[in-house]
Amino acid sequence: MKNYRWVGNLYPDWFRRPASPLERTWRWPLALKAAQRFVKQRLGITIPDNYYIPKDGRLYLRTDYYRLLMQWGTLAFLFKFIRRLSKEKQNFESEVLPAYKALLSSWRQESQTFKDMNTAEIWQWMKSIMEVDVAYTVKIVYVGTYGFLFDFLLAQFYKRFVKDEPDGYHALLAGFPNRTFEMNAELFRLSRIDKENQSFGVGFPDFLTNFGLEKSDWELALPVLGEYPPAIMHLIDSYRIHPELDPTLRLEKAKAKRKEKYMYALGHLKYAFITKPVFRWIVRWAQAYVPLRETRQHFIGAATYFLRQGLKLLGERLGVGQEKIFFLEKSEIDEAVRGGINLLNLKQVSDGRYNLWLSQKEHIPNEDRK
Amino acid sequence: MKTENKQDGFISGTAASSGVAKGLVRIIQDEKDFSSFQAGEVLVAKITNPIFTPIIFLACAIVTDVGSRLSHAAIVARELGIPAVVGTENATKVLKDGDIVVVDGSKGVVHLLT
Repeated sequence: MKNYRWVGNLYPDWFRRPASPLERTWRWPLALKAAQRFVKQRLGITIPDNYYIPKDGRLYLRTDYYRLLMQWGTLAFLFKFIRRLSKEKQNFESEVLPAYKALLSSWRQESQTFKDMNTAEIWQWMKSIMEVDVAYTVKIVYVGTYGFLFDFLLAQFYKRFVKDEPDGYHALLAGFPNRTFEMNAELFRLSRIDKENQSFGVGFPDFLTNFGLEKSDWELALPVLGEYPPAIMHLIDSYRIHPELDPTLRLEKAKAKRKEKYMYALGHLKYAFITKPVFRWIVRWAQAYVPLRETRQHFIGAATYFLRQGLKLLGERLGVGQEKIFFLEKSEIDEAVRGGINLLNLKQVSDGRYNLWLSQKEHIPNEDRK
Repeated sequence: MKTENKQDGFISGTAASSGVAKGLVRIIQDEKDFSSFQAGEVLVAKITNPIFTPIIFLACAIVTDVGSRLSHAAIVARELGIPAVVGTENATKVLKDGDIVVVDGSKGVVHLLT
């Protein structure tokens, strides 16, 4: 595995578990191709076809980055990245996110008609939304790079030029409303309503619709938050017992602390005559992009829920089982939908792969490495 | 990064969000465990991602096996001003539900009191 590194070590929040065969043979290739196209188009950099490989259900990415830099496109990379500084935020907020939310809404409506569709129609529908979903996911992931860059720049600047504890800059990035805050504010709002009240009866399903698409990983085989209504009810009950945890009050507190810290930092800059404008510039863009970094997490691959609904129905119709359909490869489902495969064999195959997946879960690459 | 075993009385990882908090440990493997979490407990998990967000809002501190200062748990903890120690490697194995711990997010250390 020379020149390849498990993505779980590079980016620990995602891809921790082994991928199901369906994830590996369907969404991965589409998403990774979409990422290649996007980087080429937006930054002019060509990513080679072999930049990733799957092994034992896990994703590995190339680590010889210097090869990526040895091309003409990299000469203008930084210029293009900085030039789009104001455009990317605007583009995300006014175009990408509203368009994606509209798509999620229409996919929700369409997915409610699954029962009236035949197997081939459902599969075709899912394939078409998967293509669109991965293209949006790449755009949504990309905007986060600005958030990470400015978080890093601010941390480095703060450490060197502000007479304060190094972590003092954290307060400068807190107290902005984002999707995470909205989700918890809504849970808190529901906790203030009696469960027997009609508005709770409307608000709870609305919460599932708006916030139930949260995933525990980039994986079709894993349930999303909306599939656990009792867990959500428990969260509402917790807020009912603990009104002091009101997210809005906490946000206001963080906002006041942020303003105070900003004034403090401005007054404690080393070489202020030079560093003050730089500090202001970094803070401005860090505060613009950091809330987006959090919000975008919630929209990465948000179509997973609808795809899972369709796949489970497909699993039932093909006789594989609702939860075992994820252990078939895309080509096998293509074939089964066309009627060109023995369904009994298909079930045996998915059962076997499910057991393999369970055993792969036990072998985490970085633990094996020790 | 260094991780000590439970007998030594502490676990260490990456200091991801400053502050100190004391509380009962609750290990959350996945969303199925959410119903066992009580507000004010210390959330101990392998990793956290968006599905954990509502639980993080109820926690007094966060400890994870895997993660960095830029991982989701760390970012949300900083926003909320609660301590977080990430990348401990084996907190979910060493700690158990009901343990009393003090999480020092500035030093990246979790002290086990019982």
